[in-house]
Amino acid sequence: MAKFLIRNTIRTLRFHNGEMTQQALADQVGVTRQTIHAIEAAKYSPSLELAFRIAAVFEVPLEAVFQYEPETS
Amino acid sequence: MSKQELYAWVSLASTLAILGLYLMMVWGLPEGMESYTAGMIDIFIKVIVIAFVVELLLGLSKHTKAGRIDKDERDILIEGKGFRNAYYFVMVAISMMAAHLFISNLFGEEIAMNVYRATPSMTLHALLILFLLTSLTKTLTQLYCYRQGT
Repeated sequence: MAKFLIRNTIRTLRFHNGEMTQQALADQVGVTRQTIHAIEAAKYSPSLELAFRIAAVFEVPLEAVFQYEPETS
Repeated sequence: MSKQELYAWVSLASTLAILGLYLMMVWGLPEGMESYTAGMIDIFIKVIVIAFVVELLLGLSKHTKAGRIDKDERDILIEGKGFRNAYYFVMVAISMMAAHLFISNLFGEEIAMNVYRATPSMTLHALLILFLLTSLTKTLTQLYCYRQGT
């Protein structure tokens, strides 16, 4: 079975939203700044609820924030 | 560093200090190092007091930053991994203790006493040390996960 990765565009979305800080996003979605950092670095996959909350902050659909793609070596 | 990671570091320091203090009170330092006992006890007690104060300050700071989250889903997941590893550790340790008791009852003390003499007081010491080591396993797992960034 092919290996898949969850990529995200949070860094870009933050940049396009007035250079929102990780802390500001964390406060809006109700997590710690460290969790946002881990998600951005693709080291932690958020729960579905948190993923929806992040998408809601940027007012974009979920798939604009997270992409489930095959891993390229 | 998140608040939960800081809690884990404080917990690590206090557990190590309590374990060190306990081992020193029960068995003392090795021969030739007895002169350091007072100094070591002093250090361990200081570490425990500092850990207590830091934990108190962390608890109080909860009320200063309004709206900030102290513990989120990732912290709970990492804590869960810590509990899981602590559970594995305690299961293995208790199985080994039970096997040791079984062997010593079946074949006599001389075969099993290489590990420890299974008197009630030694078993109590072993259980207390096991309790502290279990706590250490949980804390170290949490710190590993936080440092890995997972």
